[in-house]
Amino acid sequence: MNRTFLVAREEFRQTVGTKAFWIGLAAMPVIFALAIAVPLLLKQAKEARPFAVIDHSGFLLEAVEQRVYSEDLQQIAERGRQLRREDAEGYSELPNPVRAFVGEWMGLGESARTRLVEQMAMHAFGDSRSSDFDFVSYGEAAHVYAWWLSSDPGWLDEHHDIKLARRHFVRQSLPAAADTIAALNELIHSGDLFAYFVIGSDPVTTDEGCRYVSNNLTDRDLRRWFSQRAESLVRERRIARKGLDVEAAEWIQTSLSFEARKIGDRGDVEEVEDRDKVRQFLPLVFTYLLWIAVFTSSQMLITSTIEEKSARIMEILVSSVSPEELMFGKIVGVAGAGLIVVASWASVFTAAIVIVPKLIGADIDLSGVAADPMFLATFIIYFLLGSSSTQVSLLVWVPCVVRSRKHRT
Amino acid sequence: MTDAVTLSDVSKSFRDKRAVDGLSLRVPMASIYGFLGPNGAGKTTTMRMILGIFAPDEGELSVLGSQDPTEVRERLGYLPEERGLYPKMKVVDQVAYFGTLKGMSRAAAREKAARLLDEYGLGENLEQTCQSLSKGMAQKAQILATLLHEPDLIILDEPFSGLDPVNRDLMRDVILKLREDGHSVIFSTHIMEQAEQICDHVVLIDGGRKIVDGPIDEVRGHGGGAVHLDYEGDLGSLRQMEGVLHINDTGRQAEVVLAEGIDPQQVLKHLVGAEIRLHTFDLRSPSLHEIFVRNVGHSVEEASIEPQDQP
Repeated sequence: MNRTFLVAREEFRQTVGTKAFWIGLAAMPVIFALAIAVPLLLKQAKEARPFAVIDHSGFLLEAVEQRVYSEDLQQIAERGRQLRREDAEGYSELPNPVRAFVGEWMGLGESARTRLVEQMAMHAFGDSRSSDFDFVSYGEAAHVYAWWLSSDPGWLDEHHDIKLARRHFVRQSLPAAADTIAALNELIHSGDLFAYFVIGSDPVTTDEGCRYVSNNLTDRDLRRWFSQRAESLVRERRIARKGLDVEAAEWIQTSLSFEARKIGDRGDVEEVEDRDKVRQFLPLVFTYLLWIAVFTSSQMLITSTIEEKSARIMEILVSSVSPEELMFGKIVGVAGAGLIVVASWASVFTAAIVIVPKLIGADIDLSGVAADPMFLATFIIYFLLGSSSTQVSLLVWVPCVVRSRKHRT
Repeated sequence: MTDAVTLSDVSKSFRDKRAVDGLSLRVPMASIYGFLGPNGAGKTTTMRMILGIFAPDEGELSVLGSQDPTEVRERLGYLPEERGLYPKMKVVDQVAYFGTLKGMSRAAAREKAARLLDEYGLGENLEQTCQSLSKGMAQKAQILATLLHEPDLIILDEPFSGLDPVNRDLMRDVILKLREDGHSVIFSTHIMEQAEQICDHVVLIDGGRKIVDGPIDEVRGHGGGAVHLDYEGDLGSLRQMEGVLHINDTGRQAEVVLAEGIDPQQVLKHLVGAEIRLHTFDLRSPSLHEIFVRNVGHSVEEASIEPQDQP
């Protein structure tokens, strides 16, 4: 037992006494943070993708643009309301017509808000039917449209967190050339155009002639974004062509949603909050960490064993301690080093789940989870069991140990 | 006084390879005992059985009075042929660590390690990592790590292998000092001259079997007569002489091994007749080299029988 302790202490000392161990320890949270942050930053930094549309149908492109405008209006209204409540200075930076629109929208009920946005979009795109709203009829909406056309989507995103569709996808005019397709192909080839769509002559009847042309086949955001809107509009036309009741058709297409509920501590059915979801997701994260921790510590053990073999120390060791003492000593030593790794990750993780919700302004209190002794104790127990059993399995095939055992029995 | 080691009909096989085959020997206390034999003869396997790293398949062994060598592990010191040090560990910690594994307290091991390293000229290297030592320094540190706990029985596997002349002399002096202090030493070697100089007893092993063993003079006495020459000339005609079994000729010196009953005077007469200029003409027992070559020379050329699956 004493020799097991000696081997364990030396194994621990050698493992944690290297620069590589401490660099690895410090690097892990950084790698995790980068793994989360880099894709987000890359997404944010992604430049708007220019695209073009050849519309042989004569209606679908304009309908899509009208739909996009109404979606942008909806977002402007919602964000404007938020600014008005939480950031008066930011709200005041919005131009008068936009603030008027936000005010008008806020004064309406849910269905009226939808109608207002729809009618503003209709007027903007040349549908001069009479409107239910004076805001539209008296031309206020036209100012909003003019502002929308001239505003810089990047500035709006940066200053007001308003993300217009143009922030990501910018439609270009078709080139003035005799052979439009050839000209577009040339633009794609030269990298000046991300993609172009071709809309067939009768998309309501068939998708014949509909094409999406791009050299970037991995980034499917633009294709998905445009086709979802086009498909929705075509579906509406198909419903109208068949003379179906629009409301009935919408109702038929409504998805069946099962609202999530949970059983509380007192046995009552309660609403599910974000923190509940996160709490249940955390064990998954910890399992992943556990998996990494077990394999990291096993890798440490294998490295040290190989080092002892290659440095020709193993034979001296097995002449001084039994294979069992050597094996358990090494496992205990490496498990000790592994616990430092785990403790460091747990500290970083705990800090992250306490700090991050505050940073992003989410109303999720996870400090209770982080401090739950059962949660952490279970993690450590599983780590010790997992790493020990993995390491025993690994050591069993380390030749010097297994052969020594075999020949001694 | 009991023997330091006793082996009785000990055998050990690895799969279908018989590494040690019915080996019996006695290593007296406070003696230097040489294991001689070609590569793959079974020397290292025998040493590992004495250390308790392997258990014999058959036969019995006793080490320092115990049937189970692991019970007396702390009284054994071992320097394997393939020896090394933890490259990133400090020299003094390294030597002390092996001492603690042999039962020394940490403080005592460290204090003694520092003292011994200083005595052997490594005083300025105590806090250096082992990877920064020269090969000679590392070899010294390895020897000291083996001897730190003052073992009663020291087993050295090819201790002279890879040593420069200075460290070879150091190793020889260490072994002689150990015997002087009452320790028993077993070592294996290919260098017959070394064995001849320092061994009290030897065993010659080939193919896992004992060829001959006993006190060194006795072993040499079994070989018949021999003449050692310092000469100038051509010994070609001497090879044809009846009763000359073998000539170990190095150009200016030679060992002429004679059959039983051959009078060395006949050899002298032949040499004078052949006009060979003699500087010395010395009657001796055959050297260990001659006994080694005579007994196992045939197998040196053959493939090694040392099992490939040994750790």
